[in-house]
Amino acid sequence: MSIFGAAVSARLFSVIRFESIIHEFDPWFNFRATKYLINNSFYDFLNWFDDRTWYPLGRVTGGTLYPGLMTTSALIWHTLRKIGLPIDIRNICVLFAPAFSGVTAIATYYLTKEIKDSSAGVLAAAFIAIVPGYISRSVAGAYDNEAIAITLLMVTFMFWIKGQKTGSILYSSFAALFYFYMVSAWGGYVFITNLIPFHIFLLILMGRFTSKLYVAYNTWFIIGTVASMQIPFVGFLPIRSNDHMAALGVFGLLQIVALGDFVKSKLPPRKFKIVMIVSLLIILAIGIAGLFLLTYMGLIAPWTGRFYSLWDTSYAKIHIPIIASVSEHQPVAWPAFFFDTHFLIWLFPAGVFLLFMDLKDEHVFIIAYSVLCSYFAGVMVRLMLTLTPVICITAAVALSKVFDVYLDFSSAIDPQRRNLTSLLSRLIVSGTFIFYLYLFVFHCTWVTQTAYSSPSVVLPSTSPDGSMALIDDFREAYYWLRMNTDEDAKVAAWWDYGYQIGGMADRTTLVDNNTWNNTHIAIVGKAMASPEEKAYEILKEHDVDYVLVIFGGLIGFGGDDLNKFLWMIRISEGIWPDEIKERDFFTPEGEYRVDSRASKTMKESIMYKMSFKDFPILFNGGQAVDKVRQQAISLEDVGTLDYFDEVFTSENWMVRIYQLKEDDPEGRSLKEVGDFERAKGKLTKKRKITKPDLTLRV
Amino acid sequence: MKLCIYSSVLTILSLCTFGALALDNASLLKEARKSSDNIINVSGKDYETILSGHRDANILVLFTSNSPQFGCSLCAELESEYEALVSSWFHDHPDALSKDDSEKALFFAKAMVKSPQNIPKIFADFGIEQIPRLHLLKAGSNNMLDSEIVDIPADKDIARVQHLINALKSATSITDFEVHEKVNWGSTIITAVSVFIIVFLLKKHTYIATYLLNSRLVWGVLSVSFIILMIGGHMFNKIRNTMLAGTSKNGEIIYFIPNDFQNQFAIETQAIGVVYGILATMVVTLAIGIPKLGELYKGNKRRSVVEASFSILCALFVYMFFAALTYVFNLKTGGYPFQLLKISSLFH
Repeated sequence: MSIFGAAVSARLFSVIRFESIIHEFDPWFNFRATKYLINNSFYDFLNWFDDRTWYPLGRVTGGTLYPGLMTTSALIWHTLRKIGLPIDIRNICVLFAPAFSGVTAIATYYLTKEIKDSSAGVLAAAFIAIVPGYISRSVAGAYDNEAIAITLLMVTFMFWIKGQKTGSILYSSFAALFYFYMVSAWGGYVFITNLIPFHIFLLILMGRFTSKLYVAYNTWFIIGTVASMQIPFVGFLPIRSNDHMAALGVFGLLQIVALGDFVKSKLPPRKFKIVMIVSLLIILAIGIAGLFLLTYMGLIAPWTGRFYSLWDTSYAKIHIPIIASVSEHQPVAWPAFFFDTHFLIWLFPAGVFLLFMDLKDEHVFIIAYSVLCSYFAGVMVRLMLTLTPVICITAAVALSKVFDVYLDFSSAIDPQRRNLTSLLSRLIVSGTFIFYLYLFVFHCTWVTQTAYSSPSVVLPSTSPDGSMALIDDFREAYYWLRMNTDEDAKVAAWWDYGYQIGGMADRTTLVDNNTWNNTHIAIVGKAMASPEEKAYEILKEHDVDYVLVIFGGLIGFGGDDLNKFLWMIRISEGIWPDEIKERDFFTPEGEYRVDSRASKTMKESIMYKMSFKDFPILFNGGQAVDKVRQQAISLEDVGTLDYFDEVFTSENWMVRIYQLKEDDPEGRSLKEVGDFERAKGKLTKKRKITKPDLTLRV
Repeated sequence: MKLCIYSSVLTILSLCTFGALALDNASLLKEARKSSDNIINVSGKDYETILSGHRDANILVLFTSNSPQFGCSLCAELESEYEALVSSWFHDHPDALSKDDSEKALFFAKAMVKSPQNIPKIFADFGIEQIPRLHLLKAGSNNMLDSEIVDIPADKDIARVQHLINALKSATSITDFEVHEKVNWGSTIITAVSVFIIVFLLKKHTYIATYLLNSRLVWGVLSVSFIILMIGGHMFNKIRNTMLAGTSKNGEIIYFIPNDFQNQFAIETQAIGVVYGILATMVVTLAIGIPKLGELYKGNKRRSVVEASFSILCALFVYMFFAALTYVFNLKTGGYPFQLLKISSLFH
């Protein structure tokens, strides 16, 4: 119970330091989907066609998402309302992850209890409750699929271990049910789909086949597979995609082994051997040939790209740049492991080795899990999340084994066998390890506080006197959009901000974080990289009313659009290699510059103009230095903007919104209008610009 | 011995003719034959005797370095590719003359820089600011510095060699220049022999093999080593092709990238792997080793002393290596607040 409390409270830093707000990008979509679900029926939700994103295409949202997360929180919301506790759905979503991490701790306790005993279980639960590797994805406000997925992963594994240990149909069915729940919640369910068959396969290889295994696996496989096919996004994948073939294959193998077991009991050993070898060869040949044939005929889908990139690490780099570009898919250097798990990381191999010394059936499962997952986590940083639970379990096993020996003071209490040296050594050994535990708690608190509690919608900063200031430009801008624009206004922005604009500003976007249509993304990229006239044309074709750019040059926010600009160029170059060329945006020396030496194409692009419009004026003739790129911009560098009107710039200039001008009533092109007005000297002075005073803010 | 005389004669000759005229094709060939890979070394001070003056041959010069102080990974890649390029040419043209047109000759030279403090004169003369660089000194010119830069293609391995050859062909109008890939017989032989030995040993000692195959210890050690390799960041090295070690601003070799949390050298994996391995071994010893040791001394008077001293020793080791780990981690993150006190610092 207290562990549950610790698990929840450790994740509330973000709420205390900032406020109850949804974090990052994806959670905003989940939040919006949840709101849709509680306002409509479940069937409406499954058939939801979202016309407010990917304008004008729209997105078949109901069929392309994992509904587990939203249905769970909607269920909680409805239940609480029924018992007279109406809570804002936002608060449920924000506190969803911490609550479920408490459940994870309980599931981990029972799982580890099956592996060793309850003392190891308590340790494991305590570890998982506060380990930063898991907190990273489950702080308050991280309303994402992973938040619920790890809980379900642990519950499924717990029931599976119980099931295979006892051969109980009940437990295996529970495992299957939670597997189904997992499938509905996270794409990473494939991990379970492969790990459980792998466990069975290893046990068969080790000659540990029993009828208990047979019962447990068949129950899990049949119920789990049929149930998982009910999810619209998954559909017939379980019998068609190669990712799922291992489960099917082991299912078949298990039948054969069971049959062989039966035949063995009826036949003399020598005859059996011949029968076995011949039949094995035939089955193997048929199986492999069948697999090739089916893949060749297109009946089974080949492996997915992400799966390839796990095994052949250079695959993604060559074939799918969009996977390689995502920061979550980068390999992990060793400090990250230590940062996320502290001293558990060196207890982990010790624990695995100690499990080898016992090597019961369930230990094989944990060992297979550790070996496979340590590889995966090394390749992709996001899979660190699946490794963390097993680190906690094995570390708990190792530590509790040490404690079993050295916390046993029975000999010291017994007056006849009292022995000072032995007592001393016990005190020292257990003392140091308790000290490490103590240190671990501090480490976790520190990591959670410093690294994992920032919502990335609101940015923390320190003012010169050392106090903490919050930079809240994103919400300011989204709120402006919500209040000052037409309800069906279309906003063009880079895809990173699609979910946030949809969730916070409630306006239609062209592209968003569900990057299903590369061409559409490339259109936005092309518009941003084109000169005014062309960009205006492209944007008008797509009915765009507003263009939103993120500019960090004033306060030094590194993740702004000018830094992402190269990706926009590259992606659109992939579609229109004749019109957009990456080379043109570099200086002749091959540098990426934004100052007076920037290339002509660069300076003409609307991204450049929109980012730096009026920026040099801000410094009253002084040197206008872009703080991100450390380059000085002068007044002459920034060209005029005739086709767009600046309508909003946030307090720290981080978000700038431009409106597309109406056509000229006299039929001139907007460029001509601009030239004419300039000649008349009308456009020379516009709004009064003041530099934001960063020091005064508290 | 013969080679030695040749070269000494050559040096004397070149000293005599210093500055007056460059080497003709025959003496260039001699110069090339000095090294086993047919590449003329122009890193020294006397490089002008080879390159200056009127030349009849095309000379391609590679400016590069293999010193870790520069940390130039492209140079390292280019090293073997350049050798492949040269051997491809000399494979078909042992006298370095084109077969289609014996007037056209092509030679290869290499200038290496050892350390930033000691940059050879040739780098300054050619105005080299970046390495690696390829300069082609075309035939028929009198001025040594009259050279054109050859772009280094972005591909790797044999594809890059092919691209370089194409570039050279069009620049020098030599037509007969083909790639000859060197077959690495050594590795094939080693693989074949080792496979044979393993199969032979397995056949002969089947019971040992099955014992090893069934041994928990073997499997345990193997999987644990694999895990340690992975959590030490081995995949990072493999995917990112990291360097073994780097240099600091003063040119000293460093093994850990300071204050860079998301990056590492390849050697870090080894160091961290060893630390993790020792820590894990100590924990295992504490958990099962010491009780087993106690069993050995059952009934013996010294049992408790032995047990106690070994367990305290293990705890001490754990502390020491854990302290080392936090120390290194502090190097990497900077300002890590929970560093363990080093035992050695107690005695200061």
